[in-house]
Amino acid sequence: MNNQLSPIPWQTLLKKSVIWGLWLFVLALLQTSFFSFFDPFGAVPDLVLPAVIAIAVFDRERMGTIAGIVGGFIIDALGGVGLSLSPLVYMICGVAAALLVHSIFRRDFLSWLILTALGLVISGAFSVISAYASVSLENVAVGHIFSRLLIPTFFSSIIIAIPFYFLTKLIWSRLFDNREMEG
Amino acid sequence: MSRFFKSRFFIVALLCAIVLTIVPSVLSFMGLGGQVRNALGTVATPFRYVFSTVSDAAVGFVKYFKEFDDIKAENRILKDKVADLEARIDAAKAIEEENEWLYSYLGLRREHIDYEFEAARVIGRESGNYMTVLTLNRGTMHGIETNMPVVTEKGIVGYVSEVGASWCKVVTILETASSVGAYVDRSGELGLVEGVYELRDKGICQMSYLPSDADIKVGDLVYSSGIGSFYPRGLLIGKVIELTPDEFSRNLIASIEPAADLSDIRNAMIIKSFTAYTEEVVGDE
Repeated sequence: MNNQLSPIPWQTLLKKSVIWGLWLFVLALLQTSFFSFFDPFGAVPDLVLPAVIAIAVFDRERMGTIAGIVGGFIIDALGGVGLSLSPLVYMICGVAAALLVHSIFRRDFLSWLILTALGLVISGAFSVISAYASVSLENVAVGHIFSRLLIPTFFSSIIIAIPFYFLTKLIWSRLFDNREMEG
Repeated sequence: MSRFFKSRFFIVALLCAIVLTIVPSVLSFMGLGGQVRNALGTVATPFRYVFSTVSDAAVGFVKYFKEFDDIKAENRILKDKVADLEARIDAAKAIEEENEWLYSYLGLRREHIDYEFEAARVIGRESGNYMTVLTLNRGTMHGIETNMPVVTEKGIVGYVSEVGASWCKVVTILETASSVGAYVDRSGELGLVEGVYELRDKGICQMSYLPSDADIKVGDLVYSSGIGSFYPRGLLIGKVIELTPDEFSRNLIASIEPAADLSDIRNAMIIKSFTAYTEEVVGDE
């Protein structure tokens, strides 16, 4: 049984990784500096996860995996505290999104929206676990976490991330829209 | 799908993810997590600086409009306060004027204890081509009758020409329909103060029937004589401002500036009754 994926030149993989990594870095900076001043819709939006899912939707499993790990690492390094679960969580979201687009969904905005919503729910769950584990939420009621943290973050992220989905799509179509490169 | 999970790529990636999850977490618990964050944070610092500058500007921009709204709201409140204070000042001025008026009214009452006054407010001023008529807020309900004299604390205004239930009309001494028996205070020269059509617009009336050698000078004060008219004796009419010979007789004519400011009367007193002038009264004086 052949467990190898279709071959991609390592230069292409590296080039994609660097470009997507830079894009995710920019988004992480926006998230941790620019939007942290505004709290649109009552919370700082998560821009990196929707971007990871968008990359996975357009660029399939391999780039979804790399984008998830890199994006998670960057966001943890720039804004995280305590447990650093983001590389694993974002990677799972990236891989799952890419595989679901391959099997169930299509490569379009609605698919991205649904997958982003699912990804934010998973990420939110892990965030709460991480926060409890690092003892920063031990005295906070669950209802309060939902009403003041998870729900505002969900809506803030999904709304603010929409233009960044289209920017991600633009980058992909300009640089990588080549079927031969798909992982 | 299973081929992807079994692929070398995925296994390596998963290992990387696990390492990147566990190592920073462990380092964080050991108090060394700052090292990793510090490295990426250092790289991110200049970019963060740019973004924070942009966000500061954006926040400042939003704040400007928010503050502008606050200032607008504050301005509205202050305007309301100013309007309220202005209304209070106006009310205080009105009270002050009324106080002055009542003080004068009291003085006049003390001065003329035989007079029965009815204080009234001017509620209308009808100015026609031939006559200016004041409307006061007193009428038959208050015992007002026609021909009653109307005065202010400064002097004669005129007489009541028409009375309603709650109002009366006053013809001023400037009108041709008015004539007041008068004397010059300094010399006792007698005459008749009448309204003249040509002079009413200037706010002047004239004293006629003065002999050509009458002892009268510019600046003399003229009072009501109480003879031949419905005005009591001793009310100030005005001041002589000019003396001219009568064109049609050998008499003198004195132009009189009324003591009461007839163009700006707000309050007046109607004299309902007084002791009529007789030789006996004069003799008593």
